[in-house]
Amino acid sequence: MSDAAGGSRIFLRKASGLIRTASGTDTYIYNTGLVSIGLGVASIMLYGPAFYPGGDLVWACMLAGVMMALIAFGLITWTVTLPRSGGIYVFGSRSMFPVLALTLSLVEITAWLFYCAIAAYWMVYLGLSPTLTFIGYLSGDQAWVDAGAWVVSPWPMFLIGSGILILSGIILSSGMRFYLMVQKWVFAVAVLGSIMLIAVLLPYSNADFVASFNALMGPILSVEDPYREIISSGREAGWAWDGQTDWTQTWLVSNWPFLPLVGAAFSIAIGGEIKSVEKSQKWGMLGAVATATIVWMITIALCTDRFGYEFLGTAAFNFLGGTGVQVDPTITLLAGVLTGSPLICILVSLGFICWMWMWIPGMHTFGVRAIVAWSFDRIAPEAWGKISPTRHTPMVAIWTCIAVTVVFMALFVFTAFFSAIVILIEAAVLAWSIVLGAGIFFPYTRPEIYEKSPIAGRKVLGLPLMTVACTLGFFAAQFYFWTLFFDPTAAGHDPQQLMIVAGVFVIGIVFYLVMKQIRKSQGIDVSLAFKEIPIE
Amino acid sequence: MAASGEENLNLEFVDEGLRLVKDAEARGIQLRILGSIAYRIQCPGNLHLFDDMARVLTDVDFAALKSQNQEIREFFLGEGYLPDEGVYVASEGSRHIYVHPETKLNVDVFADELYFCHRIPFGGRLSIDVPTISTTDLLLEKMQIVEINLKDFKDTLVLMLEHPIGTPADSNKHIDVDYITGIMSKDWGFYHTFTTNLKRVPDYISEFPAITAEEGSVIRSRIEDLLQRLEDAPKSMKWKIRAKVGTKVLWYQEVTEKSSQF
Repeated sequence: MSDAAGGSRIFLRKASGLIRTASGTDTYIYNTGLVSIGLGVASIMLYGPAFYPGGDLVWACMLAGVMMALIAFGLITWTVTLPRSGGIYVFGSRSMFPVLALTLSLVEITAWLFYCAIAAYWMVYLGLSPTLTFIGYLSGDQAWVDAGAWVVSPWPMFLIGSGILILSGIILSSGMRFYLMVQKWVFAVAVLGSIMLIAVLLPYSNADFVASFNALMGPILSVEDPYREIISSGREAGWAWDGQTDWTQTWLVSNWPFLPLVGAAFSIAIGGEIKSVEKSQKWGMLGAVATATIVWMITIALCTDRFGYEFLGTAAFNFLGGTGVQVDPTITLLAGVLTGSPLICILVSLGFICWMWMWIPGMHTFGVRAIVAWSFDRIAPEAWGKISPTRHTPMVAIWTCIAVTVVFMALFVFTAFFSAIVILIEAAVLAWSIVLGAGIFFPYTRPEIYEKSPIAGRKVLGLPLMTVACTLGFFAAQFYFWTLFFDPTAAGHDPQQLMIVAGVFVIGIVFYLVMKQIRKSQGIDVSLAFKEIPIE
Repeated sequence: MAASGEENLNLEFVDEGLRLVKDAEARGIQLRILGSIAYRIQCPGNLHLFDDMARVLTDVDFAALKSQNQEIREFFLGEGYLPDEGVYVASEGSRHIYVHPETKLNVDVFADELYFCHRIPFGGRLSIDVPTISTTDLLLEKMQIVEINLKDFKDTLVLMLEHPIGTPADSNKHIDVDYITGIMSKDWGFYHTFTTNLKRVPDYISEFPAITAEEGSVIRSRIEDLLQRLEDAPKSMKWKIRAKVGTKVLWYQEVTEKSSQF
């Protein structure tokens, strides 16, 4: 062990070997959990037919899947070339101006921590509350219905949501191995929930659903044929569809599968902790994209057939817009209605809640790894890079991220403005596209690093593989940046929200300049760190 | 121990390793040397065989306890070593890497266990011997390597020549056969790697012209004895079930060479 060969490779460490924590399977679960297949199918079915009438959801999933695979392809070449933890900061910091790299990273983790808090909010709002309510409907016990309403009132929502975020912090504080082990169990329950949803839908027909729905909801809504009433009241309120496929709407509605699919590339955050990085990242990212896309296509086709496209569109349109006859159209609950079984409702909803949960520690991890990487480069306080002598984890970084998400949680619950912010995902996609753009030129601008990459010798049409992959990824990311930009439902370009994104950029620039000055006063030139590969 | 005229082999690193163990011990920190330097220290009767290999030493590896991580970090920083914070954070305190800016000596510290292909726990075992880990753990350290190479076989040959197998009641220098069979009878994967490697060790006796025929017999006899004891030991149910699966499923942890990642 003491006689590792020297050699001329510039980044060689004279150590015997490196054990990384995450296997290929862990990487796949991490990414698939961050796609959150259950949440994806719920949001596609909730927003798709309601706001993009005529959009073909199956084709939309396929388009989003192909585009995300291209983005993942580009990011894979980055992460195998610089197999370090820290997300796009690692890539940007060695390929562009440090201030820009830090700012893009800040934009990225602000977005992910924001969505992390949203996931906790949704676990209560879309998971816990409707489940309690529908158990009440199915069992006829009003106490469950009341509990469902109570948990979404401001303080219970804040306390339960914050408790979920703190639980994530406790798990991450126990170490990466423990977190990955917990994720495996949560993943198993989530997958079972998704399989059960498909299995539940398979033997039934649309006529079965209409009969079950009317039998259950008729007395509750005091309407004789609530299924038809929902459709007709939705049409009267403005929902319109001529029965034909609308390809423009299909393109726009593909934002909804694309948004969760972004999670399929989140393993760039833990690149330094993944074993057999090239194989694991390929399997982890592309496997997550493929799995999610296929499961969605199957589930969406079944849901559309069993519940009816027109019903799904009008029910969500009424529910979200506060018009017509209103009923919560979350598909897990509709599946419960279809079977009339509280147990099925609970099990499918539990799987759904598990999918949402998987966002939370995954996104916290993303934030933690980014700020630890900043700290290593000395552009952030050293405390963020320290690990606890008792827990052996970066406790300060972990609890900083938890605190940020609890603040976001409070903003969602106690203010109207923050719960309407949807634009940060667009900013994060822009940040990724800029880094992918830098990857096109990386083999030429930093050949001394690229030559050490395991993909250095691979060419396509005479060009370095990384150049080709990042070109494809760049255009795919740009495609979705502009698709999101022109879709006010998914993201849009509301001036007030654009100001928030601009504010994050300004904070990043100021933060960098302040840290640079602090380090300068300590006799440290932070710019030197960017000339080397970041430590893992 | 550093011999004049052998500076290119960095034998002064042996002295530095011994000094660090002693100074750490004075502060209540348990550091035990492992790796090739430990083999040299534990086989003084056959030191000439290591010299024949002309091994260039580049680092010193230590076993330690995670509960002393903070003290270990402060100790090495106080000795002028620079830490690799990234490895420490990524391994969550299981591994420390330090480098001395002047001597360029790399120091690896493995906290609580050495876990490359198979797990070798250090809990309760660092007090068996000083200044290195026990001869038993040294044997486990080499025999857990799936992609084992010539130098590992050579180190093992010298160790098996120097130390008989036995129990702690014999001496702390004996290779503790009960401890090894205890591990191997529960873990089929480790058993498979260990026995596969150990069976190959005698094939390399010819690499050492200095080993006499009688010494060769001693090595063969000890290895056969150890293998027989492993074979005879009762196995756990988990071991038996895993044995039926065999090598169709990966039976060890894959180790990434750092040089291939940078």
